[in-house]
Amino acid sequence: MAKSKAVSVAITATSSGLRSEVVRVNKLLDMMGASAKKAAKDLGILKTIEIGKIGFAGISAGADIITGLGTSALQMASRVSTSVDSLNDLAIRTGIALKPLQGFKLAAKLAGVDAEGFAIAVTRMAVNIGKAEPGDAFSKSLAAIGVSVTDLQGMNPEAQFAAISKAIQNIPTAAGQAAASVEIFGRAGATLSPLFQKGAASLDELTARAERLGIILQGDQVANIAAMNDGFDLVSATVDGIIGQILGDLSPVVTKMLDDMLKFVEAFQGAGGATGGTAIAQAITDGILAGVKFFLQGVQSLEKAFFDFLVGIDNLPGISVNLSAQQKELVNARAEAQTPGVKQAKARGVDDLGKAAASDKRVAAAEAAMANTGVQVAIEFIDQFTKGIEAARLVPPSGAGPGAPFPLNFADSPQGKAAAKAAAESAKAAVKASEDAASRVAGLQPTGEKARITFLKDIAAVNVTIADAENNAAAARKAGDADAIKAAEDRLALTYEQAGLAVEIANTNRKEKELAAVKTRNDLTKQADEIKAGLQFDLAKPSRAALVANDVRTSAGASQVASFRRMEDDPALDEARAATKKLEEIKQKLDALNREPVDML
Amino acid sequence: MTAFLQREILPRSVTHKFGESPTAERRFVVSTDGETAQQDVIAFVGIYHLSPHPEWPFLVLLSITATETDPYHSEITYSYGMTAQENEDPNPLARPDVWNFSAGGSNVPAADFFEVEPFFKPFGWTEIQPLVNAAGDIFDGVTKTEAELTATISGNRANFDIAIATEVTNSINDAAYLGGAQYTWLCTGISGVQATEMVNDAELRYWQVGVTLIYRQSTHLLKLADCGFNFLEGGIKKRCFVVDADGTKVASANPMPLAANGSMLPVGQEVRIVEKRMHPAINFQQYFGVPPF
Repeated sequence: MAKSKAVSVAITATSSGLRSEVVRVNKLLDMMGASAKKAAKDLGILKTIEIGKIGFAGISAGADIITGLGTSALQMASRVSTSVDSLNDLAIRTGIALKPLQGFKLAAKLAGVDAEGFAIAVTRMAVNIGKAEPGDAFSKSLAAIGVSVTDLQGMNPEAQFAAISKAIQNIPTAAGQAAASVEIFGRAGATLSPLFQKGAASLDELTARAERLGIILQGDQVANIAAMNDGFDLVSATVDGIIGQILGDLSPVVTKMLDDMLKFVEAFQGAGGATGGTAIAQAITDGILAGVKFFLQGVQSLEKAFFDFLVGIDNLPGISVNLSAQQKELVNARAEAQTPGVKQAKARGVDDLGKAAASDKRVAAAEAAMANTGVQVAIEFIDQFTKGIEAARLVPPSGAGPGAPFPLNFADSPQGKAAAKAAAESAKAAVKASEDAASRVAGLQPTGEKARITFLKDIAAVNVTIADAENNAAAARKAGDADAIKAAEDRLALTYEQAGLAVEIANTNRKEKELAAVKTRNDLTKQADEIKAGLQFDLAKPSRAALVANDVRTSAGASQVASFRRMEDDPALDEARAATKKLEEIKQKLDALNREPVDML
Repeated sequence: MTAFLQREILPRSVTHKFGESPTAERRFVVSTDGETAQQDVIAFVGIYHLSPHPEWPFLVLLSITATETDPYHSEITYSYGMTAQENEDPNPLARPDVWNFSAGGSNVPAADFFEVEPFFKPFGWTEIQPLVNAAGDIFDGVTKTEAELTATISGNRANFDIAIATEVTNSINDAAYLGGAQYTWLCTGISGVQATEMVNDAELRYWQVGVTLIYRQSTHLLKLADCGFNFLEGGIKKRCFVVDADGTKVASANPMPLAANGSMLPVGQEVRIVEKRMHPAINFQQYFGVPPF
């Protein structure tokens, strides 16, 4: 970190100096073999720029790791928020309160009814009830199943739906239920038949259970998520705008990338003899399958480790864990499976007393009782994992202290090492892409004196690159993989070297620029002094110039008198004005030089 | 040998053209007893220069021509005419000076004109104003004719006084002279030519002297716009300057008009025209006299 701070000194440089340095960096990277993955790098450039520009550089490392496991917390959050947003919209459309609506929606989903069909049916029901009058066809349809329109019109929508559901359920035949559903809910009503077959009691029971499971969100929670989504929309639009501008600037580079990618695809040769896009698709499929496998293995390992952990806590005196009955049963079953007798029986393969079999059966039953335990464990794992990443960033690189990042032994497992290696590679590729992006951005700058803001962007890009490299190194250290750590540290050292050279060149250029500015300032000042002296010199003493005079009765004399009478401006005024203008120009140049920024980063 | 008989022969002639002075001619034949001296023959008739014509006394004898036709006869022709001066003296040194006047002149710039205010017109008053157009802009390059009068004085002097000649050459009149104001007459030079004349059988040598005087109405003084690169302030000479709109003083590139005390003339005031006498001033009347008319 000390080296990275060294970058944050006063830096002033011309674009040419920085650009040449970036060119040199690219050559070094080529020597490291990074150029072999040029296509992947090019594709990663835009992503890296996007993440870096919006300040999510720190998140990117964790996101890469999770991507390596086959899922993404961000994607999950996005999916949940989208679902909640649509729920909120549905509540508004149907008039059904959020809580019962979530129960209805869950019931419909379990019954195989899609959300959109449910929404259409309920909306149609509300419209029909609102328009119905005693004696009309709709009223008669309701009356046929024993429901009064007048009564329904006095209920809220969820009560209306519950009452109609109960009435339809009471119809003895499925055909009758379907016919009544269509009459009341319209064509979409036919899709609700499976829902009505279980009746209102089932709906209430399902809603209560969903609430117990935490599936039901409260109204304010939904509102918060909706507000968050609005915020995300604004941020997304803003980021889209920024990215659009960046893309506009980088479009020539992007075009070049796309050409390179196409060439890469055309030249790609797979392991099985396939070529081109087919070979790439096979490679990607293999990668995805491997990721899913890692994820599942990780979940399994976590689940096991987590319950071992819970068992250990539960065995500690004075510490109690607030677990549900199902969880306690599972913990106890696991604890029983860890008892010496059961372990010995399993180890020997002799289960004379049937302890091992009983234990396994008990564990299986407990696991069946908690069907979602694995998911919950995974969610908790993600929380733990995120906290671990944050903690790791605060501890020394050795990771051997009391703040060791992973509470679980995941990093020691083969899957963890593989994931860490993949994460390190991913982070390395991201860093490389970031550097290439910075170099290409710098390469796009016009030659000559660079605008200050552009130069600051370049320096910021260097700092972002360093931050990425440091994060990558931290992630590698946390993962504990020696190769990854070495690669990340090499990467970091090279980045420091690059940054140091860039600073050196920048300072050299800054000194040259300052010297040039001083010379220019001196020259301008000298010119100004000469002009001022010239203006003052003539006034300082009497003139010794020849006084030419002519008799006023000659042409020359008469012209002189006429010029006096015309009060013509003396030519000296024009000369003085020109000199004053020149002085003003010099002053402006001096002011501009004095305004020349000393860029402090 | 001697002349013993003279007789006027006819025809006598007189020529009198309109607008010109009349001339007359008489001829005589003198008889001698042999070859006789021409002077004796002319003296025998007894008519000399400036003798009046017997019929027109304002015609005087100006020319005598004697021709010996044979050893015993001579023919003498007498030509009569009018002299330039009245009562011409046979002695050239006693003759009065002759005055001639001629006109000349040149074009000079015209910067002013005579503007007569209506009120003063009946009184003949004039006021000189700068020559400007209706908008007050100065006409530049306008010229006017400035006529000059040249007076030539011719006279006979026994000697040519070179000292006086150099003294009066290039001098101007220090007082009114010949109807001109002070400094309006300039002596441009005195010429002298030696002459010889025989009067009544006596030889006279003298100098025909000519003096040329030029009259200039605007005087022969030098007229200059009083201006300069420097001015006086508190007795100290300083550089003339012009002031820009922002108050900046700038050394002037051209001479600036000056006041009588040497200070810079305020902007807008009429430039002063100073007159400087470049020639010595003498009493012309003392040296050149006055014409006889």
